[in-house]
Amino acid sequence: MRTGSLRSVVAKRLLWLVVTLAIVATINFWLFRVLPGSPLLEITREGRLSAAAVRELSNSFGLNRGVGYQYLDYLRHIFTFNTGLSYASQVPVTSLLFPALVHTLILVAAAEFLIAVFGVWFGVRAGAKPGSFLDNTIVTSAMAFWSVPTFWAALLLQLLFAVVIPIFPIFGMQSLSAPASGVGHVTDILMHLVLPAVSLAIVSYGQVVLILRNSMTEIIGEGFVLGVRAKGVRERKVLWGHVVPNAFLPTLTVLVLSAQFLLAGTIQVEVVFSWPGLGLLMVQAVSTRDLPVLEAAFFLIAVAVVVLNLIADLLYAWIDPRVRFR
Amino acid sequence: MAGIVAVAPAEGQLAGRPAALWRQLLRSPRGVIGLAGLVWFVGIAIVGAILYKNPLPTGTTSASVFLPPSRTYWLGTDQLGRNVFDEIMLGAQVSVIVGFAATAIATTLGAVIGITSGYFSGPTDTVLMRGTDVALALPALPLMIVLAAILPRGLLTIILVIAVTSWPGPARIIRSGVLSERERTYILRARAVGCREWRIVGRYILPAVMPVILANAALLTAVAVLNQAVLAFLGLGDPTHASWGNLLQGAFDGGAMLQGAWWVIVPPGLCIVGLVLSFTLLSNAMSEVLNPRLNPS
Repeated sequence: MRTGSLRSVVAKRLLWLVVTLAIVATINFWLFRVLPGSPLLEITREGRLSAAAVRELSNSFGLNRGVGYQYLDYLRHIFTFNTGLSYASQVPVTSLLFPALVHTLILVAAAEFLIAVFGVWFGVRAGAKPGSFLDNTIVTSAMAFWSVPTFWAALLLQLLFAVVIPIFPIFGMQSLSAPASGVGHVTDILMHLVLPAVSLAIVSYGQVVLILRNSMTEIIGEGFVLGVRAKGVRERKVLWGHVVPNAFLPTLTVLVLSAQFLLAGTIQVEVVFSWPGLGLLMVQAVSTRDLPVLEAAFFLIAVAVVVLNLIADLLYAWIDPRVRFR
Repeated sequence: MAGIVAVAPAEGQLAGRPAALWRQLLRSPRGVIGLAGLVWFVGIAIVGAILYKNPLPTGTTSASVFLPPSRTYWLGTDQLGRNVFDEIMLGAQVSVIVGFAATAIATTLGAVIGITSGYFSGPTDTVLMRGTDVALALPALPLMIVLAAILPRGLLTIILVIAVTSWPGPARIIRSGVLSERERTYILRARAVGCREWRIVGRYILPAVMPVILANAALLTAVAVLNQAVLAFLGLGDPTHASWGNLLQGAFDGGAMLQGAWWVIVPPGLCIVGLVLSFTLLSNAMSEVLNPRLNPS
């Protein structure tokens, strides 16, 4: 295979994806099987069991076999989404996991949209005149917002717009009184979505601003920009037609990668607003010691993040041919 | 949350003179504000550790719960009737200790891996960097939640959990610093006169990449302080010692939002932001000193 062709890049990255997933699965296995002591203690914590019952359980879970056997068994289960029953609610873990995933994706998509719009706008304004007052203001405020813990931003917005000025709902994803379908249903969810999405976006847009701003200041100093200006092209056209498209590459990757950082924020926002997503599910699983749910949620999130990284890489290689020849 | 400021060394900018870096830092407004904030919060942490004893007394009657700010209680009381001002003073040391300790561990680990990988290239480099890639690919907060849930509660767990999830960034950055330094003439000369490899690393490479390590460490500390607060808010912190995150978590669970008890929510959050911002500004000022192209003014 010729190095540098898009296909070879894709093949290499896919292979890498498989390796990473295998390592993630292995870490997951060791974390939950090996670290917390005997899994049987976890299961039987509720009631006292006879020695015979423990042996029985041990057989049925394959715990009396070697670690190697358990590991293969675990791999088979996790890749067929057979992740067992939740300790806390006694329903299949997947029936909790997938609705939660959809709810989280709704939240992340809304926040990512806000970040793209505001991050690019402020980043271009700042990068157009590096060192100016506007640049300093935008960069400093972006860093200030970035320094805000996401959960605290969410708490403040909740305090302000749900308690002091009750415009938006404080809790959950939908109201019980709202219609279950149609326009009313969608409006209801959107109303619940506003505060969580804004909390997420407000602390994360700064990253896009800083990266876009820095790559713009570097591009503006390059010869071709001077050339375009010398031709008499208007400054506005120079900026949006020549500088921004070139500065956008690193920013695009950041936008995709910021989904990973958004995920960290999502967990906090979901807890504050009781948004029924993966983050809330995970935190609740911690407090109820619901290990199957915790384990599956962690694995699902890890897979999502690894796949997102792959998408960012491929996007970059597809748009910028130089990357392929590294 | 990591990696907001790219601290990549520009070619030939790594002069490795700490005194010069320090002087330029004091000339940058962001650097000065960051340093001032740092001194202020470390001061609060020390004063709080001397003046207050953990655990703080709770209120004696239900009438002392969620009292608004007054002359006796400058920042009001929380859901247990504790003085919020005292809690903030006492809680400062947790943020400071966790921030510095986690960063020290993560930076040391990152420096060892980054320098080994960058200096001794070849298969060592490949293996270490692939491992770093995998660690970078893992979602940090979910991993921290899982680890904190499995390990015994306490300050040490929090420090370790944060350190374990934050070494890959510094490892990569330090490696790229070493790579550009390694090929410079004076290193070749040192090797030519028979200087041993570990001596080259310790005597020349490490001092040269030190500014990059420090700028990145400042940013890591900011992230560590944030993560400590987040873990505490999610109920995974050290429940026995007052901290800003614990204060927020207790207030949130205790119904501060419905009571409109802003005095329990706003001040500890402002402290977290202040401390995190100090470190962010400091790191930003350091990386601008290291890479002047970012700031042409």
